[in-house]
Amino acid sequence: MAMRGHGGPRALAMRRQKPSRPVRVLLRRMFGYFGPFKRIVAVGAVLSLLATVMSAVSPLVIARGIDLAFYGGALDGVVFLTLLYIGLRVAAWALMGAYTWILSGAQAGFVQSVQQDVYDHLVDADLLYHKREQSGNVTSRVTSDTVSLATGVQMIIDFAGQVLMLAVSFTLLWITSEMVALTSLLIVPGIALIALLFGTVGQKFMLASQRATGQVSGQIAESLSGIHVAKSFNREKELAETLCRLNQKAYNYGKRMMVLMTSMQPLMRGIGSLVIAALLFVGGSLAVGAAPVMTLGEVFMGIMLTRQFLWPLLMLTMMASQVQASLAAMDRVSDVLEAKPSVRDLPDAVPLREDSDGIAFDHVTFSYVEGTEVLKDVSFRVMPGETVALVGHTGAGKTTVAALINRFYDPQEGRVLIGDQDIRHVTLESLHRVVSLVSQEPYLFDGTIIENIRYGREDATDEEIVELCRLIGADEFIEVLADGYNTRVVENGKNLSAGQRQMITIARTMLANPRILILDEATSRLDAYSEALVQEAQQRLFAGRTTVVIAHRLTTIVNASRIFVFDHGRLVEQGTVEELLAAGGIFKRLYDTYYAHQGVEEISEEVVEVAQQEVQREAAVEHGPGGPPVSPHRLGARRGHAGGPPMRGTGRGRGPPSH
Amino acid sequence: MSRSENGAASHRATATRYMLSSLLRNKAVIVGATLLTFVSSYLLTIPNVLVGDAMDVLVASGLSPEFISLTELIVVISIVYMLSYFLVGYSWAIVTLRWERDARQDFVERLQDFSMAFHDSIDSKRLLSVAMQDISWVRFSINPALRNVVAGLSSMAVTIILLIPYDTSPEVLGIVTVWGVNLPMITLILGIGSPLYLFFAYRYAKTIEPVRRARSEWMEQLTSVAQGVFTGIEVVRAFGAEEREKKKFRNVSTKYAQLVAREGRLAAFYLPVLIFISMVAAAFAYGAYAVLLGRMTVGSLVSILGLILSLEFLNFQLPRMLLMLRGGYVNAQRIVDILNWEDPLIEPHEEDEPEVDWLGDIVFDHVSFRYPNTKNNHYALRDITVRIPGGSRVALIGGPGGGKSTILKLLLRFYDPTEGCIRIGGVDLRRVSTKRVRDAVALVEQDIFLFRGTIRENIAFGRPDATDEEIVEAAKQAQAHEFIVQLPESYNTVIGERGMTLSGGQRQRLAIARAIIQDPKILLLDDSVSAVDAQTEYYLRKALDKVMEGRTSITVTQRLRTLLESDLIVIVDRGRVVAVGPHSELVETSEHYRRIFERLPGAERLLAGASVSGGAL
Repeated sequence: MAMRGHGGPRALAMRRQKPSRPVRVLLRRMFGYFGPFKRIVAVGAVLSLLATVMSAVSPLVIARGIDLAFYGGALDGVVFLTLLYIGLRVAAWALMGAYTWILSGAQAGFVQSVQQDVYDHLVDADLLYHKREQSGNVTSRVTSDTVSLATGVQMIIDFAGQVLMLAVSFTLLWITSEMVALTSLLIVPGIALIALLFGTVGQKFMLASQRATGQVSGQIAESLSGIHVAKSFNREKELAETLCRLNQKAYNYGKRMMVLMTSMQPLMRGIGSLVIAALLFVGGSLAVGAAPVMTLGEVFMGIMLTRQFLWPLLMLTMMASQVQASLAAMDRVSDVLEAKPSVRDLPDAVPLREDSDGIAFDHVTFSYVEGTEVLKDVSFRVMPGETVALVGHTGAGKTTVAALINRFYDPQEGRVLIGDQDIRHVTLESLHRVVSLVSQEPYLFDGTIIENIRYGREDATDEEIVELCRLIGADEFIEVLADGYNTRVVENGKNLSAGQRQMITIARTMLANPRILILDEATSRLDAYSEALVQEAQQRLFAGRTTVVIAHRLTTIVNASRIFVFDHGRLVEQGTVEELLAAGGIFKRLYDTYYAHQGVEEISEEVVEVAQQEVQREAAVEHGPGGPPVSPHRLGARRGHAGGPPMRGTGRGRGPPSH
Repeated sequence: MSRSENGAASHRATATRYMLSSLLRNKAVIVGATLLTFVSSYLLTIPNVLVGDAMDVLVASGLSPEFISLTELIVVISIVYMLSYFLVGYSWAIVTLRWERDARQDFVERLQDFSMAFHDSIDSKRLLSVAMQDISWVRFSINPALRNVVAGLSSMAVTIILLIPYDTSPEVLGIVTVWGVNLPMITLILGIGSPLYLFFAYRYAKTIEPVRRARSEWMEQLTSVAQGVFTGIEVVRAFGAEEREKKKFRNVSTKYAQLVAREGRLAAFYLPVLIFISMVAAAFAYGAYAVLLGRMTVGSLVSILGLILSLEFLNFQLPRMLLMLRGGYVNAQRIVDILNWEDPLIEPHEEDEPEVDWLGDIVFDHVSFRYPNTKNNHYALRDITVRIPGGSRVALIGGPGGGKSTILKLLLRFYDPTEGCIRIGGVDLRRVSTKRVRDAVALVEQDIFLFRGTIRENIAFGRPDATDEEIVEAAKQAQAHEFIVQLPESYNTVIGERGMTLSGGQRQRLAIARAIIQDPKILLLDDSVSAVDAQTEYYLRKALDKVMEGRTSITVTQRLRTLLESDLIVIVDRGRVVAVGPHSELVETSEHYRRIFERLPGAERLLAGASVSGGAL
């Protein structure tokens, strides 16, 4: 028993959360995970109950012994009682040990099966879910929530033991003397007072303290992640002062909390001593006089029994909040488990055939959030082996097109086809083997650079990887890093420049050797020369493969055989650069705004004027069909500001920034 | 506001010292509290003796006033105990919480002082978790863990002291003798039992602690695996790596589950309980025997048993506290390891600092540089020698990893050259404190980092005493004023941690304003922003023209126009300078330059017009 601690007095001060599902459902699901261990848990419970009864009655033996000695008895009796006492307590100890031993295996298995289940669901969950939630919150479904579940289950299993301990102790008291039993109830108001104190004031203090500590943590996080800026402006001291203020605040709240927590132990023990006095008085009165109703041993037993149920009683009051917390965790976990991903293999899904790599959008309409369509009735066809470029303002729907080809989402209307297969009826696994995307925000996993590149194809040899890097010009910068290819990526690559990060993600995708390549501004952070190297390598390695490029530079557009121009979710123009420029439509305007000035010519006030109009026109409507929702908060903000002043940024550095 | 005067920041070499520093700096309070702990233990234990005495009184004279006053005494003692032990808890709480506050402050301040050699190589999330979690755990290991261990030991000591008289009363002499020697039985029971009890409790903590540590390390591992995958879920999807990731997670979670089970099994069968049972049983047998013989009163027996049984709480408390205490040591070790990091960057003594003409020439004199901890023999910069005339505009170009940003870092003295030296106005940069270097040199970095706060605060970050007028002026110069005043709260608009709600161009102009207000003599710009629209481009150009006036500027760029307008272009490739000169010169003499230049958008037209001599295209 000793090791299975539960938050101590803190548990009492925990915030009570109301789950949205009925408790019955949550409990059933919780214990469902014990499925394979049911018998073990049942055996464990029996052991624990037996142990409880044995240790609960042991004071009886002591009391008998005292009486035996006092009222005159045989030595044999003392020996027998001593052995009985040892027998009871050692048996209880052994049973409890066996219980802990058995249960720890079951508990570990329980935690693991919940973790695995939740994790698997999250990995398969819709991207929309992941975009909406912060990754830290998602992770806590797997980590802290499962741990909290395990604690709750433990509590519930322990509950029976604690109740039994109370019941047996009190019954023994009652049998001995009703008066003494009633006197022992004096501790109940004491415990109630403590529970009340910690449940109300304690909870308030604890929340305040947690909030203040959270601020300290946030400030430290910011000071450390922005250390390079603080250093280059000599502002370390000011940041330290801000921290000092918050730290002091956290200390003040923490002190309040801790002083309260500290009072718990003396209160409990003090109450214990007071009850001893009361029992002594009451028991003593009953044990003397003409017709004593109690023996001295029984008085002592009363004291021992009362001590024995002091802590279980407090435990029970703490249990309520812990079990509630764990039900709330089960509730959150249930949200994950019950969410059916909308993008998954249909029962009739077949592998993607290899006969045609053409891509077709057939009257595709798509929205992330109901009511704001990001793509409207888009139809186009990319021939096998063709390279097309998508252009348009931020929020025009280019990235969404890329996401739909990858089947990150399913369109609400229309179909996306590869060859002549609707990708909804294709296994995701085969689709992702064929299609590969380099997204605009390079993401690197924790691990070495070579591990990150190998993510593209697990069985690639070191030589293959180095060769590929040489080809795209990534080799030279990787080699000069601290540990070459084995350099560890720190914090999504803060030890690398943005260009280097992009190079690594490009290498990763090229290594995967996909038949269809989708580049979403994949080279935007590279200098022109490196970009040219990458493009040359791409043309060599991926010649004749279907390629969709979301373009930010003129050079990329020029290499495409056709250009698709998107505007507010619609495909408005398509053709070659010359055709589109000659047509003088939206592409011409885009060209003048974004691409023409990438050269050297002086930007005249007139161009700026045109650009500004273009940007404002675009921004005025942009607030409607936004990009992927980032958080509920942002969504709300976005709706609230629809049609607001054009200069308010919404995008987060994607595409050609519109301001 | 540094709290280093409190001593926590002084150089501490060992984890033990670090752990105890909280107590050492408040010696008087802790000594007082420890004494009071003994008093409290006494007050907590004595009622057990009084219960026995009361029973003897009861047997002798019934419900006499003496009996009543004994029960009253217990009541009074209980109340005094509550107060005195509360006072103990209170003193420990204040002392250790203060320590925690200051240790955290000191830790962060020390980290801030470490040079970038440290920060570039370590995940700031890990540092955060040490600053928050590990320091908290060290505090837990002192309070409540050490406090409770001290209280537990003192209860044990007080109990033994209170039990000794039961062996020394003349009546009990000779009950148990061995070879004619009287055995003080109770003293023997406790004298043998207690050390054994403590020994096994300690051994228990020692066995479990590594398992528990391993468990929490695997939990960290599990968290980081999950977090990595959820953050990069799009990449996982794009490569169809879901099953692979599930398998990877299964391995980690299986390992974790094994450790949970192992810890649980080790925790079962806590041996000291058996020793405790033996002590109670022995005392019971001996006492009952003595009472049977009529050599001991029943009250004494009740007192003895009450006293020993009152130690039962240790069965529950001691192992947990010992574990926490041992665990805290490892946490302290982690903290100390970080704090003991030796900074390769050494600040000069103040009195030795020479005056620097910041607008003088910047000279790289055979500079080579290797990042600290580099395992292979690769230099980021190799034998660089360049003279940059004061007040000139310099463009720095080259591929990724060529060494551009390293050059900027050296100029800010984030690092010192491994070989050779950098001189500004003839003074070796190593002889100038980083503070003065960074007052004179400003950086507009590639990934703009803005602090959580208002726009005003972010601009004023360049100079905290700037007036509102100066801030507006700087914003105007940086071409940022116009968009700022259109924001909902103008200069008081709060922006997110990385300025999430602003576009790339806006963030960059804010960063320029932040640099302008510092009024640096040397301006470093890492301007590798991708294509922006004409309007932004126009404003940026205007801002840069303005800000470069009267300063030496070094710009990492891929803007064609910046190249043309620079006084000097420096091309670095694989850590070496391959060409230096103005555009007009390089375009004719350097093949490398032409190779880069011709790829720049819009360059073809220029090249078509340029006369080419030397080196074929």
